[in-house]
Amino acid sequence: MSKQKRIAVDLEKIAHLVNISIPVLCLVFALLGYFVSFYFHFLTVGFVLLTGLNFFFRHVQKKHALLSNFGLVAQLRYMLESVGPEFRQYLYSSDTEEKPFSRTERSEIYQKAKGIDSSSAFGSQLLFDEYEIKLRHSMFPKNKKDIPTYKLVLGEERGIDSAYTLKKTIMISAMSYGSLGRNAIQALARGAKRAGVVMNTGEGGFPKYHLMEGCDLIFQMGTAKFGVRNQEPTLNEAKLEALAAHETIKMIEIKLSQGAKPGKGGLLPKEKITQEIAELRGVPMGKDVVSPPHHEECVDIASTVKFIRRVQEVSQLPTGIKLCLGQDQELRALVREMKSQSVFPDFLSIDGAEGGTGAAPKSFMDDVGVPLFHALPVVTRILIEEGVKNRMKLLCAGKLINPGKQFMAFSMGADAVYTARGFMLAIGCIQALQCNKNSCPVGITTHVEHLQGGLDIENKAQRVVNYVNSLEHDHIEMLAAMGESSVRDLTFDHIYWEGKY
Amino acid sequence: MKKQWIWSGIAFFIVRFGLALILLMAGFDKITGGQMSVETFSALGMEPYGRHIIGWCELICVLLLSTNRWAHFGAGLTFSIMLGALIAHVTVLGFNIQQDQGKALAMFLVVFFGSLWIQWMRRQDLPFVGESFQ
Repeated sequence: MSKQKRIAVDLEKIAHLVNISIPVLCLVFALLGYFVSFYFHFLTVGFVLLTGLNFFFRHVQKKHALLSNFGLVAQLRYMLESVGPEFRQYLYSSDTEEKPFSRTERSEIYQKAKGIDSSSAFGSQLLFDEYEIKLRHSMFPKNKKDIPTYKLVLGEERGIDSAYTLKKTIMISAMSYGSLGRNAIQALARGAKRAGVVMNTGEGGFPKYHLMEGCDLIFQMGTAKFGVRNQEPTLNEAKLEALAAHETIKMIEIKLSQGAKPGKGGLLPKEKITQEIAELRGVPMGKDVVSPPHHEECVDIASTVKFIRRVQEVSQLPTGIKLCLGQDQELRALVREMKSQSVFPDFLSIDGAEGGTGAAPKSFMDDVGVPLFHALPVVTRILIEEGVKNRMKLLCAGKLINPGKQFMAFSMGADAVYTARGFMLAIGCIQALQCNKNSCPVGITTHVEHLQGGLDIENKAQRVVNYVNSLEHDHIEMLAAMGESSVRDLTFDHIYWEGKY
Repeated sequence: MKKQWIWSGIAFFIVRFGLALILLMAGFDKITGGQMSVETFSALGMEPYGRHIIGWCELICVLLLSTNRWAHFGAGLTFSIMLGALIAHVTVLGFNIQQDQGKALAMFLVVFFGSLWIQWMRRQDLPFVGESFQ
């Protein structure tokens, strides 16, 4: 049987041909330049440079085997690979398959933020036959007029004067100056002020840019205690007291761990420590700052509870803790120790392991920590079983960007929800996945001036307001459909989760 | 170490602006039709378009070399022009132009090696090859 001949592209042969052709063409143009017209030497010069480049790829550089073996043609592979994410996002990925947020999910937020209709038609794009969580509506929907205004008082259990009343079900999750640029922080803070939502400062030290717009703030104290630390990362009570005295700082959140990298402290490289950041974070310049994996004061369960009480006493503000759930029994032990010391945080924020803008090792981002919709039922069950559900408010975060997901969290026991990326999308995030590279093309997670220049603070602040208003509108619609008066009335009975509820 | 860094920074600054000054004069002379430029490009059979093209390219080099951020691109373009000049001198013009005692040749060598040196100093920023030096 004769061997069948096919027309096929043999890249190796093409590369070989190109490698020979470049110097040959160089010679051809040199001859044309000499005998026909000197203008041909423009091409001679170009091909001399290409010959040099090809020689460099093949015989000098040692980093890339592909370039060594094939020369210039292999460079095409790197060029195509570099634009791959954009091609996949714009052309090849379907509306529902991108991660972490699909185009369908992002479009809903963009439409809400722009104040335009976000309804869709002809059926859901989701895989309805697959394993999914759904919300259960009521046969007897409520009249929207009968739904009272949402109100949640944090700190009321301790009876403190500075108890804070949340008037919206959603909050802007922790994003520091550092993770976000100046303009993005100001746009979010201005929008938060107008929309009446509270904003978490993240662990970026003194929240200079958050404070500029006058919105209500939750000051987050990470393990490095930026802004309220001594030379060592221990609590400086005087600094905390001074910070808590700011009129717009309404609450303190002690971060025990975060969803992006639970159990791991961050690293602030010395190259990124500008004069301003050194001042805001209270750290020296010219030295890497390593955030410890846990608070210096919190070495075990008992000392952690003592530290919560210490911060509550110093700050005189509603004080809560934030953690990403790891081992259930550790949380149960923590709650029991709270009962034994009679010290309770005013709120408990559960961060899902879905990650966020925080840069983290991939293994931590992908494989460490319990995802929110698995953690939240466990936490709620522990709080109920230990009889302390009414001693603290339960907040949560983790990809809760749209009303449906937020209602699932409410049904699993949350009293209010955080979202960071929802608000980032609202101010124009295009999911370029460059948060850790200081090159965010829409100027949100970057400090590069010309990139930040495109982010108009006033325009984006209005989008924050629109997003909040649209979410609130949808929350009321959904509450009415589920026949309840408040998101706090939602329970596991309102969830359909195959095999679970 | 720090002292060495300061001196290399000063040298880099001097070479950048030295080249920019030479190219500014050369480019201006070509665009305005200086006698020597016209004669040179006539000999090459590129008068007047070639003269204008090279003249404007040299002025673009001046602009790029004047900025710290784009200096290596300016040096790259300068080096390309110098390659063309080298071909011209080797194949057509020779090196003793109008009996100038080799002044033009000296100027050529300064610009040729100066532009190479700038690229070497900024080798990590060069497109395609920069990564290999990191």
